[in-house]
Amino acid sequence: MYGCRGHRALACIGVALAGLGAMVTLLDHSHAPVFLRLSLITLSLSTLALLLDSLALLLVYTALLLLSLALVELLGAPLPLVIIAPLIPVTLRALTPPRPEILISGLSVTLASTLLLVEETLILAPYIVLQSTLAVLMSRKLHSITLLAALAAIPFGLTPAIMASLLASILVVSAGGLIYRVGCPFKVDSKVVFSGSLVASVGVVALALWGWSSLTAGLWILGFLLVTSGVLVPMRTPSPNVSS
Amino acid sequence: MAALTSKTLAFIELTKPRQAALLMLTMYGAYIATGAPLDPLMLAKLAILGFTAIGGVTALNMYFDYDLDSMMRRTSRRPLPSGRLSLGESLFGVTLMLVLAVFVASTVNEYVLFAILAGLYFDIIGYTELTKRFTALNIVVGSIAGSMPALGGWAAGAGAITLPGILLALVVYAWQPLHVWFLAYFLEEDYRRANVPMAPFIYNARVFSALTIAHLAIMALSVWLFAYITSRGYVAALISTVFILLASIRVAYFVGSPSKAEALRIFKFATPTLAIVFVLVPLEVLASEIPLPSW
Repeated sequence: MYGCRGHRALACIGVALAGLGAMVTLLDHSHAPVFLRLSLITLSLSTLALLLDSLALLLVYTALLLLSLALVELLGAPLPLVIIAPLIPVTLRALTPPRPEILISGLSVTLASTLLLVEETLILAPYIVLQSTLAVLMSRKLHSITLLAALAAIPFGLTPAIMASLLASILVVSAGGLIYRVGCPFKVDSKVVFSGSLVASVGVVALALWGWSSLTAGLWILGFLLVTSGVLVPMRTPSPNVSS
Repeated sequence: MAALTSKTLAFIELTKPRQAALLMLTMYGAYIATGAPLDPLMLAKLAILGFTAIGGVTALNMYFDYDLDSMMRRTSRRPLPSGRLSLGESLFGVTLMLVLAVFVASTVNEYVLFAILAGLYFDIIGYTELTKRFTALNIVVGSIAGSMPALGGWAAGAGAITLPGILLALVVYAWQPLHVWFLAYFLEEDYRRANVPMAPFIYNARVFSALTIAHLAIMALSVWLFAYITSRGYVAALISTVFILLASIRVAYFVGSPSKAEALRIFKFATPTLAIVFVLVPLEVLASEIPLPSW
C-alpha cells in the first residue's frame, strides 16, 4: 500500500540507519551499547514496516510503542505495557487474513525496545528465536539455523549479544528477500551478504573472546556494512559477459 | 601463472589506481598538515591503507555497478563488464583488501578506522545503492565518501577528528562537482544510455554551473578557514583561491556557450585545483618547522 517508493524508503531508512548507528560506536565506545540498541530498533522496525504494508498502522504502532516506553520510564508503569500495548493494532492486522509473521515481527520490535529500559542480555534470547522463526516463515529454513547460532553470543555480555542480534535481524531481511518480495527495484546479493556475514561473525567471536577493541569492533562493523550493502542492491540489467 | 598475473592486473585495474593516487595525495597532505612527524612506519601504514581502503571501496563500487559499466562506452572495457574478472573473484579480493584495511587502521587509531568505514558507507550504500540511479543530486552524497581519505589522513596525524581536519575534508567535498559534473556533461550519451541521472543533463547549464560555483566558494572558504584556525596554509589559500577563481571564470564562460570541448577543459582543470591545496598546505607546514635564519 505504500507503493514502491514507500517500500524502498522504509527499507533504506531502517537498514541504512542501523549501519550508521553501528559505525558511530567507533567514535564513542562508552555509548556503544546505546547506539547498537537504537540500530536494533530501527532495523526490526523496518522489517515490521515492510511486512505491515500500511503506513497508518505503522504510525499507530510506533506511537503506542513510544507512549508505553515513556509511561514506563517516567511514571513507573509496569514493563509488560511496552510489550502488550503496541501489539494490539498489529494483532488485529495479523488476524485477517492470518499472517503470523506480522505478530512475530511486532513482538521482535517491542523486545528490542525493551532493551532501552532493561539492560538484560537474556531479552535477546527470545528476540533471536523470534527472528529465526521469522526466517522459517519466510521459507528460508537454513537461515534459521544460522540465526540461532547468534544465541551463542549471549553469555559474553550485552554488546556481543546485540551485535549478533543485529546481524540476525539483517539476515532476516535478506533471508526473506523482503525488499525483493515487495517488487521494488532492489535485490539481495547473496555473495556480498555471505562474505559480510563471515567477516561480521569473525568480529563477534573475536569480541566475545578478547573484548572490545578497534580491531574487533572494526571487523564487525565492516561485515555489517557489507551485509547491509548486499541487502540494498539496486536491480541490475544482466550483462552477457559477466560470469558469477 | 600467466592467468594469475592477468587476474591480478585486472584486479589492480579494478581499484582505479589513478583515482586512488589523487585521493592518497589528499590523505598524505592532510596527515603532513597536522605537523605530525614523518615516521616511516606511519607513512607505510598510510600507503597500505590508501591501497586497501580506497582501492577496496572503489572495486566494490565497480562490483555493484558492473551493469552500468557494461552499458557505457567509456567503462565497457573495465575488468568486470569485459569478463576479465568474475564477480566472485572480485568480491573475494575486495573482502581481503577491506579486512586488511581494518586491521592496519586499528593499529593507527579508531578515528582512522571510522573514516575508512564512513567512506565505505557513503560510497557504497549512500551513493552507489541509494542515490546514484535515482537522483540527479547523487554526487552530493557521493562526495562525502571522496572526502574521507583527507579526514583519515588528518585523524592519523592528529589522533582525533578535529575542525581543521573537517575543513580539509570539506575542501575535497566541495571540489567534486567541478570534477564529476563536467565529465558527465562531456559523456552525456554514455550516462543517458545507462539511465543514470546526472545534474548536467537534468538541470540546465545555468543551474548546475551555479551549483558548481557555489561549491567552489565553499572550497575557497574552507581553505581560508583552515589557514585562519591553524595559522598555517595562507600561501596555499592564496594560490588555491587563484585556481578556484580561474575555475569559476571558466564555469561562468561555459554558461554563456556550453560545449563538450569546454566541459572537458574544465574537467581537466579540476585535478590541479584540488592538488594545489594538498601539495602547498603540507609544504607550508613543513617549511614552518624549519627555523627561520637569524639575520
